[in-house]
Amino acid sequence: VKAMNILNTKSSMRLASRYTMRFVLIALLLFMHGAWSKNNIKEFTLVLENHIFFPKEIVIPANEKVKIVIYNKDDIAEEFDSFDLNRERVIFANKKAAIYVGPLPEGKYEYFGEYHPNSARGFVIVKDDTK
Amino acid sequence: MIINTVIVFLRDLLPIFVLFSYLAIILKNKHLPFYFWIISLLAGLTASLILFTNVETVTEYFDGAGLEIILTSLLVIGFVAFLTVKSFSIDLYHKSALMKAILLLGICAFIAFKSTEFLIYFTVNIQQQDQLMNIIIGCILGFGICISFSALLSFLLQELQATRFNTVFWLCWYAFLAGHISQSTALLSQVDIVEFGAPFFDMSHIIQDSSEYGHILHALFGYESSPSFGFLFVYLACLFIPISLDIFSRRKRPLLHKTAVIHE
Repeated sequence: VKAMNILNTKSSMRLASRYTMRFVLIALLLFMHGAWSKNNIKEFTLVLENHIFFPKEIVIPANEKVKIVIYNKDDIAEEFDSFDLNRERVIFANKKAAIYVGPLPEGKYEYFGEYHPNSARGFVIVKDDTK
Repeated sequence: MIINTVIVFLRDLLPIFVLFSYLAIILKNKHLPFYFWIISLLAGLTASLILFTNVETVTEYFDGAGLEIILTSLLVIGFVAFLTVKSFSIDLYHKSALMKAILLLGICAFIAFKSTEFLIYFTVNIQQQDQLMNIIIGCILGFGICISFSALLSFLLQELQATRFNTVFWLCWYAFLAGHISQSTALLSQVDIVEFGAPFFDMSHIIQDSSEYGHILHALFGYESSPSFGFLFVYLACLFIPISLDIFSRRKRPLLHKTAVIHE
């Protein structure tokens, strides 16, 4: 019984390690793909001042990954939050932060400042340049 | 500001209450003393305070992706720890000290992950004197909602576990874990460490992420209205792996039981 028990534990461990290895391999491939596609990314800028984002709307190309750099010129931190874009990032006082969005289909995606949602609001407009 | 505080409370702190509801039921037979839960909570809060005080420095690491990497690591630690605890809870042999250490680590990681952003929100808004009262009222309301929600959830989960719907209970637990580990996909893709592509489908016309239902479903199962392919992949993988291991260990259990009887 003891031998059977050890065998069962071993095969269970083998099964777990097989699944884990596959998972790690796919994650590694995704990571490498991400690292490879880092070049040639268009950059857009947002500035937060007096709890208002400038510009209110930024237009980005459809089906393309872009980088949005957000400068916080206020003396307190703000969190860039967007349910539509599935992004949230804290930008500390007088600092900048970058987030990557896309590739996205055409549409209007809302974002807001989590700590000042009434004033800090705007849209990321995704347009297809090829049309 | 009151509503905003309640929403932030639901988003960041409700998952901690849900986690404790699950753990209290899963480890019911282990008879963990009450002070263990208090110590884990305090250790978790200490971990989140350490992260919070160093968050600005941590963010600068790894070319600005430091916070995302740290938060993803915390999620992975929590996920592995809670899965290990599940395997201990069904094992016939008592490995109490190791189980407690792993459980403590998992709770610390989960609380640190969830409460750091809430602490930032709290400290930013507390600087605005005119908003202080609203923040406190929002916190009291949020705390009340979380307590009552977790009490109701505990009752429901206890019923599920005690009846023939035991499998549903474990499915919900795995979905809870998978939902939270899948959040790492958004964290890593927003700093371009991995790329998970465009949203696979859109359910925002049914339940929006920003709605109250969206927040509660997110806390319970990691709901996303427009998940990417990568999110779905990680979610399903993290749901499927523990379920398959569970099925495998159930087949093994009669043998373990037999061994235990022979030892006795």
